[in-house]
Amino acid sequence: MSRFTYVGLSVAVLAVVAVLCVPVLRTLPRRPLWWTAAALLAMTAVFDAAIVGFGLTTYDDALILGLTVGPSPVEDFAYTVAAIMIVPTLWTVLGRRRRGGDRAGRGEAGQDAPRTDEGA
Amino acid sequence: MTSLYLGLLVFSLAGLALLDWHRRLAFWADARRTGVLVLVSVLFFLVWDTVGIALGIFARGDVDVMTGIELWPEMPLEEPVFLTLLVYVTLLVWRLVGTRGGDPRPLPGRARQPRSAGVDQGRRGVPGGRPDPGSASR
Repeated sequence: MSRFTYVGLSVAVLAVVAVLCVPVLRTLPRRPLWWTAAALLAMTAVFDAAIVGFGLTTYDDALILGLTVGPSPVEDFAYTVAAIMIVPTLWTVLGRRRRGGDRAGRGEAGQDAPRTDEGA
Repeated sequence: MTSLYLGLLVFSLAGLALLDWHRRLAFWADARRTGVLVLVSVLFFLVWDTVGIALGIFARGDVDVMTGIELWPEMPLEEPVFLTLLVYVTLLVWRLVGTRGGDPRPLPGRARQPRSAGVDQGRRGVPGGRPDPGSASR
């Protein structure tokens, strides 16, 4: 069958997300991003197992890879990977936009501070 | 059909909101920024979901723990709530790590401790350490 598969969809979406987010993510401290990725992927393994296990979502077996983490199709993890890229990117971009206004200079939470502040 | 799943999602969101409030991580650090972030992210994931549904990749399971209400074909009422939870927990974990625990409110009946006496004392003075996350917000 030549229908679009779950892995095809996931890779396509992740590629677009990566192109948009990686330039911003590269300006951010790496360690919090890696910790967030580790925590969120672990949580996904647990909670997606419940979601799939209880049958809240059903899949067309012909369109998934068949590679699973517990009961979860591995493709489900693409949502988590996307969230890990999108959320810090949006937080950073939305904060930058604000900076032209009343709160010139640093953001309010350290995480927003420009990298030049490091070691200050 | 029950509201069990929806109830658990709302319960989890309430727990995250409590953490957010206590540590001033997201909504309680910058409400508008958090609101826009969650809205844009959830809309993005809903589009992704809808494409997946349209391609026949996944569908709503017809199970007792969900309300059975559909927002549009195969899109359960619970899905945007789940996506909000996914986005919110990602934001809070990242903020929690990136700001070294956020900006905790004092516990009831206890005077506010200066942060240098707090739990992250061991991380003070690390070369390249970031500025105190609380310092700029007050």
